[in-house]
Amino acid sequence: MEPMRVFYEKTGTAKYISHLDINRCFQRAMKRAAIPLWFTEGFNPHAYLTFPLPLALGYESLCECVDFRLVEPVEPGEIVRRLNAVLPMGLKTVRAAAPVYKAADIALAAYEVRLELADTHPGRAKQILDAFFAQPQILAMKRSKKGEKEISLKEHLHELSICVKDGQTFLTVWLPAGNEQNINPTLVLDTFARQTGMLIDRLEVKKTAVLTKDGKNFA
Amino acid sequence: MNPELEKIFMKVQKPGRYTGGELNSVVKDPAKVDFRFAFCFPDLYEVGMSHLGMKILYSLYNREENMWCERVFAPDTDMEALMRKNHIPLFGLESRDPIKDFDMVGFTLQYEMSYTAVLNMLDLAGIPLHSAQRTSLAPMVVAGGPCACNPEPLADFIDLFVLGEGEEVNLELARLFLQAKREGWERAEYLRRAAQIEGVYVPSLYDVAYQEDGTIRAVTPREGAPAVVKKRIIKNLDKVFFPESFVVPFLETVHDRAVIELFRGCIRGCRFCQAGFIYRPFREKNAQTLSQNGHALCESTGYDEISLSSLSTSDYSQLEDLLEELLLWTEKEKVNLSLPSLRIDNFSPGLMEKITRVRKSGLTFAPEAGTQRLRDVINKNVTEKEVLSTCRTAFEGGYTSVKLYFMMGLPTETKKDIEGVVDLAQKVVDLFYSLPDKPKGKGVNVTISLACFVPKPFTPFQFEPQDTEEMLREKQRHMISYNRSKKIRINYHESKTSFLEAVLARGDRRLCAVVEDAWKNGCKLDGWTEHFNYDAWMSAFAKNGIDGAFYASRTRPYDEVTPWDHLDFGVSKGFLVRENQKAHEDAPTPNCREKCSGCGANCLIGRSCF
Repeated sequence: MEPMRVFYEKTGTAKYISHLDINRCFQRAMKRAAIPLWFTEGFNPHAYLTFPLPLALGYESLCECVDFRLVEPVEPGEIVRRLNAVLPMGLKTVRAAAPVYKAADIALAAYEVRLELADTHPGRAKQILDAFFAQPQILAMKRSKKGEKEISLKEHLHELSICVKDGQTFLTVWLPAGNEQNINPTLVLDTFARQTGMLIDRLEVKKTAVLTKDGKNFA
Repeated sequence: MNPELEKIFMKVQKPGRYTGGELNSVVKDPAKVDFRFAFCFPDLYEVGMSHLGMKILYSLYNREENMWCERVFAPDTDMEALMRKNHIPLFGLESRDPIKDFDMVGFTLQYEMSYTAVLNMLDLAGIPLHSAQRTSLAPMVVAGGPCACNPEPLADFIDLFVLGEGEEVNLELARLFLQAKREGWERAEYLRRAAQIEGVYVPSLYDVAYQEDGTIRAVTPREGAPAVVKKRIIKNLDKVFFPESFVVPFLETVHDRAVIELFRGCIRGCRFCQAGFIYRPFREKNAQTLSQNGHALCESTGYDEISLSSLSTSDYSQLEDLLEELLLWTEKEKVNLSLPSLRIDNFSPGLMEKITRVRKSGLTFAPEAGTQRLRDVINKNVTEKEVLSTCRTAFEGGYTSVKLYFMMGLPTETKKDIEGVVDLAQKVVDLFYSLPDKPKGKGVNVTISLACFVPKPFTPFQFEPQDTEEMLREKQRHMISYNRSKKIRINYHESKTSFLEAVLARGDRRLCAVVEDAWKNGCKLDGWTEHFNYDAWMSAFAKNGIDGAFYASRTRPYDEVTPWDHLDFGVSKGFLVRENQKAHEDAPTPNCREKCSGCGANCLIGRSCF
C-alpha cells in the first residue's frame, strides 16, 4: 500500500464547500478518476482519505492537501491529470507525491487577506491596521469546544505586513496551524474590529502556504 | 462574482445551497441560447436536489443546444432575509441571473404544502403573483407534477399547467415559445395555442360557475380550449430520454445517489393512493436498459449508491434479472444498492439474500391498516400472515428493527381497527422472541409510523370526508394508551397539516385568495414543522369567508362536479365510483396483473397493459 499526498487549490465558488463536503467530493472524484484507493475493511467499506489541515468554510487556498493509500502504483502525474479531469470548478490538483512530513509536523500557515473597512479609504485602513498591530499586547477571545478562552495574539503574528495594492488593502501573515494551536485570520480581524470599533465590509482570506516548525513548506 | 452576493454567501448557513458550481451542472453562454428555463423547486435545496423529475428535465432541456435550464430552490429564511434586505432577486444557480428575465419559470408541485413557497419564490423573483397582472410574453409561469392533477388552488398564479409526464410536452412548449418570440405573439396568443397541445391546461381559459350550496355547477372552456384536458404519458419507457449524469451536490441532500426508474404506474390500486392512479397505466423499463442507465450514472457522478425507484419495487417483473445484472458491476465497483418500496407479500428469501449481500439497514413495510377488514376496504391486499412471514425472513436475515407504516382516519375505521395496529406490531415483537435463530444479543424495535389519511383527487376515496382534527386526536390518544410494549414506538403526523393538505388537494379556485393571504401572513415553508403556522392559515380562511371543512370534511356525492372533472388522468370517474362502492362492501379488487379492473388508463397506450 503506497501512501500518497495530493496538493490542490480551492478557489472561487469552491470556497463555500465545507470540509465535510470536500471529503465526500474527493471520495467521488477518486471513484470517477478510477484511482485504486485502499478501502477500509469494516462493516461499511469506504475509501480512506485524510486531510492534514482542514480549511475553514469561506477561505480560498493554494495549498490544500489530502492523503490516501493506493493498492496499486499509479504515477503521481497521472493522478493529477485524472483528478483534474473530474473535479468540479474551483478545485484543481497541482501536485502528487509520497508524503514527506507527517500531519503533526504542521506548525504554521501563511495567509493573504484582502479586506475592506466600511467607509474607510484603503490608505487610511492601512494606518488603522498598522497602529492596531503595533500595540505591545493584543488579547483575543478564542472560542473552542471547551468554551471561551482569552489568548494573547501578539506573539503569534509572524511575518505580518499590510499593504495597499490597486486601491485595496491586503494583509499577509503567518499564524499557528495544526494540532497544537490553531489561529485563523478571522479571529485576528474580528479582534481588530471589536477593539477599534471598525466595521469590516469585506474579508477574503486565501491560504498561501502550509509550513513546518522549521519554516519549510509542508510536503 | 457579484460582490453583494459574495458578502451574503459568507453570512448564511450552508452557502452551498445557493452557489451552484456543482459537478455536472450546466453553464452555457447566455448569448448563444434562445430559451432560458428556470426549474423551480418550491422547497429547500436538500429536498429539491433529491427529486428525480428535476434531474430528468434539467438534462432534457440542456441537451438542446439553444436552450438553457437552471435550477432554483426556495431559500431558507436567513438567505431570504438577506436577499430582500439587499434587493437581490431570486436567481438561477448556474448563471446567478435573475429568473424574472428568463423565458419560462417552471414549478414542480410535489406537495400541497409547498404552494405558499411557490408564491414566495415568485415574489422574491420580482414576478407579479397573478397571471392576470403579467403582461409581457416572458416570463411564462408554468407548473407540473402530481399536484397539477388538481391545480385549481393555484389557478390564479400559474399561466399553464402540464398534466402527466413531461419528457415530450415540455420541449413542445419550449418550441412553441420560440415561435412566439420569433413572431412577436402576445402572451394571450401563446396561451391559446399552448392549450391546443395535449396535456396542457390553461386555467384562465376556463370559467367556473358555482351552485348556491358552494359546489361547482360547471366548468366551461373558452377560446377553443378543450373541454377536457388529457394528461400526457410516455408510451415506451425504453425509448424515453434518461440522463447519463446528475448534478452532484456538495451538500448532503435527502437522497444523494444514483437513481433508476423501474417502471411508472402501479398494479396495486390501493384506494387511498393517488400515485397508484394518476401515474397509470403500468409501464416497465427493461432490466438491461436500467442496468446501463445506472452504470452510466455511477460513472459520471462517482456515486457509490444506486436506488431502484418505483411505487412498488417488488412488483417489477424482472427484479431478479435486474439485481443479477446490477450485481455484475456494482460489487466490483463497490456500489451499494438500495431498494425502497418493497411490498410485504412478495419479499422472497432470494431477494433478501441479494439485499443482504450489499448492506443491512432498517426495513420498512406498509400494512397501512391494522385489521384485515380495513385492509380490504383500502384494497391493500396484504394479510397478517404475509406481514409476519416477511418479518420472520427479515429477522432471520439479521434485521432487528422494523418500521411499519399505517394510516389513521381511513374510511369506515373503528376503534377495533386502531387497536389492530398495535396488536399487529405486538405480534411482530412476539414473533422475534419466538425465533430460535433470532439475531443474538439484541432486542427488537418495532416503530409504528402513523399518517393521517388525506382524501385525494383521482382516487376511489376522492368522495370521502376526512376525519376532523378532534376525531384524529382521539384515535391517536387511544392507540397510545392501548400500547403496552416498550419495544413498540409510535410516531404520528400533525393532523393540522393533514387537514390543510385535504383542503388544498380537493380545493377549487376560490382557495387562491386563501393561499395568497396565508403567504401574506408569513407562510412560506409549510412543509417544515418549525415554520408551519396553522393560525396564519386559519386567519386567511376567515378573511376570505371560506370554511376549510367544506373541502376536507364533507362527503361528496358521486354526481357532484369536482374541481378536477375537466382533467383526464386516464382513470374514469365511473371506475372510481365502482371502487368506492366496493370499499364500502369491504371488497378488495385484484391487482392489474391478476385481472384488469377496467380503470380506463390503458386508453392512453391504446392496448391492454399486460
